[in-house]
Amino acid sequence: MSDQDLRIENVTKTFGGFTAVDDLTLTIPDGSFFALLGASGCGKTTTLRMVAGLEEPTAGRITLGGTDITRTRPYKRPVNTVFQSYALFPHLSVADNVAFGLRRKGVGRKDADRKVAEMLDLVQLGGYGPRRPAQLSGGQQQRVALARALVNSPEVLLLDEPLGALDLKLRRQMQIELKRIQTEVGITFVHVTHDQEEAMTMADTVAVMQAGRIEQLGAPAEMYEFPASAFVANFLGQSNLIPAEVTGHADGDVTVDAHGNRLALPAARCRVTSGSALLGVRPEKLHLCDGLDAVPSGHAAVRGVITDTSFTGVSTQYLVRAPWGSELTVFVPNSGLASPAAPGAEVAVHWLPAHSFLVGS
Amino acid sequence: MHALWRWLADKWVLLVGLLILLYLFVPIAVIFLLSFNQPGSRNTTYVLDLQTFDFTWNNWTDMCGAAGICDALLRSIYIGFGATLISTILGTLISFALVRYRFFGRSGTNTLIFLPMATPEIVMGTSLLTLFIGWQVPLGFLTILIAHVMFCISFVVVTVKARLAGLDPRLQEAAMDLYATPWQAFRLVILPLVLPGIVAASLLAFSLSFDDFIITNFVTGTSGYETFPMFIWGSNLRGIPPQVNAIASAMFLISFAFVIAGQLRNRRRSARRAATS
Repeated sequence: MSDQDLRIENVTKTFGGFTAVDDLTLTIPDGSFFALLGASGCGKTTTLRMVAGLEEPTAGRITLGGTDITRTRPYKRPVNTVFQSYALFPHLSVADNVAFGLRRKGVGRKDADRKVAEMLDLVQLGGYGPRRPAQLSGGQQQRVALARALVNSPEVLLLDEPLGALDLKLRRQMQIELKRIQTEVGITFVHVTHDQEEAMTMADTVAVMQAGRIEQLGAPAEMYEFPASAFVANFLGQSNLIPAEVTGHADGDVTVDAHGNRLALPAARCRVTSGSALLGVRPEKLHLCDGLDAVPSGHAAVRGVITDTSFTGVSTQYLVRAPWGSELTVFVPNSGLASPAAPGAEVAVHWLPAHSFLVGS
Repeated sequence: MHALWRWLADKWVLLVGLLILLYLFVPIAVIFLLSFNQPGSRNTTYVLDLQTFDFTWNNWTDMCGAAGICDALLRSIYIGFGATLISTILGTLISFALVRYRFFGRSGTNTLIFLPMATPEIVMGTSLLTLFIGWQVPLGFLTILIAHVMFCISFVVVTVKARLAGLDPRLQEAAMDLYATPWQAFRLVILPLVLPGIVAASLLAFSLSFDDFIITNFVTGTSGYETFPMFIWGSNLRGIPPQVNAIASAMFLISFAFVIAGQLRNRRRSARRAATS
C-alpha cells in the first residue's frame, strides 16, 4: 500500500431502477496491473467510467493518492482511457492524435513532438506519425489509442476491453505487448475485460465482478486453484462441480458424500464446512484409469463411462458420465504416453484430494 | 446479332445513365446557347432556331441592361445569405440538441421538423400570408426572410443530423479524457468532423432560398419587394429580357465551379494520403 493507490469506497451507481455497481469497495495498488473481469452487464465498464469521470457515482467516494476525485471533471483528472472502439480522432494525423492531451495541458510543440515520437517508438509505430487513423490496421489503431493515453503519463491508465476488436493471434501478441509496456512505464493499469484468459495472462490482480459486486479478488493463479464460489470456478476457466453433502471432519480433512461416493479433501481447501456444497475439480487435474483397482493410493475416485472424446491438439478432452448421470470433463495431455480411450469404455476418474475444492452451492 | 445483345446486356446501365444525363443537361445547354442570342424581329428570347440565331456577347457584357434585373438579383442574394446564415446556425443547434440530449418533446420535435418539407408550398405561402396580415407584420424583406428561414431550417436539420448521428459519441468523451474542456472538445473534435455536413446544409439552404418563388410571391404581398424568380415571372408577361439567360448560365457555371473545386480538393487529399502510406 502506498499513497498513490486508487481507492473506490462504497461506490454505488444506479441508472433509473437498475443498479449497475452495488456498494463496491476496492483498492488498486499503485503500479499494479489490475483486471476487472466479468460478463457484460456486470458493472465493470461503469466502474471504469466512474474512475475516468465519465459517469458520476450515485453514492460513495473515489480517491486517488488521497485526493477525492469523485466529482472531478474528466479533463481535470490525472487519468487516461483507452476506449474499446479506440475513439481516435479521424480528422487528425496519428501524431496529432497522440499529441492531443499534451497540447491541452499546455506542453510546447517542440516538447510534445519529442514525447510523441518517443511514445510512437514505444508502441512500435515510429514513422507512422503523418498517417491518418483510417490508414492503419486494427492492431495499429489500438496501439495509437494506447500511445495517446500513455504519453500524458497518467497516474492511472484505464483500458476498456482494449483488445476486443482484434483477432485471436493479434490479441495474444498485444497481451504480451501491453504487459511489457506496463512493466516499462510502471503506471497503474486498470483493465476491463470479459476474457478470463486475457485477465489471467496480463494482470497481477484480478477482480471477478458479478451483478455490480466483486465475487473474488486475488492473484490469477490463487483464484484459479482455489475459487471462492461456484461462479468464479466456472467463469475463470472450466470446473467440474459435483453436488455434495458435508458428512464429517477428521484429521484436518473434510469428508463429503457425493451421490453415495465418500470423498475427502483438506479443510484448507473448503470454502464451506457444513451442509450442502459443491465439490470442484479442474478438468486438467482429473486423470483416467481402467478401473477403481488401478487408482493410485491416496487419490479420490469415481467410476464412469466415456461418452465423447474430442482431440484439441495439445490435449484430448473426454466427457465421462458418472453413475449419477451428469458428465465430468477430463483433459488428458497428448504426451504420447497413454493410448487414447474410446467412447463406451468403462473407466475410473481420479484426482488428488488437495486438487479439489469445496464451495457453497 | 448475338454479339450485339451481349454488348447491350453489358452496357445497358451505362447507356441508360448517359440518356438520363442527356435528359438533365439539354435544358441547361439550351439556356446557355440562348444566352448568346440577340432577340430581334426574327427570333425571341426563348426560341432556339439555328437559322435565325443572332450571335452576341451583349447579354454577358451587359447583364444589368434590363431594367430592374440586377436589383432583383441583389435582393435574392441578400435574402439567400440572410436565410442561409440564420437557418444554418439555428438548424445546427437544433440538430445537436436532437442528437445529443434527451428531453421532453424530443421525438415530437423530430417529427415536426419534417413538416415544412412535406407541406405543399402553396399551403405554406397562404398560411404565412394570413398569419403576417393577422399580426400586421409589414410585408417585404422581413416576411420573406422569416419564411425562407422557416423552410430552410428543416433541410439544415436533416442534413446536419445525419452527419452528427454517424459520429461516435466516444470521440467527445475521448477528447474530455485527454484534458479538453467541453468547449475545446467541440471546437477541436466535433466541429471539424461535422463541418462538411454544415457546409452542405448551408449550400442547400442557399439554393432553396434563391430558387423559391411560390412562398415568396405570397409573403411579399403588394410590397413590391421583388426577388429574382419573381422578376422572371413578372417579365414573362412582357417578354423576358435575354440577360436572364446569361445570369442563369452564370449561376450554373458558378455552382459547377464549386462542385469541381470540391472534387479536386477530395482527389488531392486522397492522393496525399496515398503518398504517405
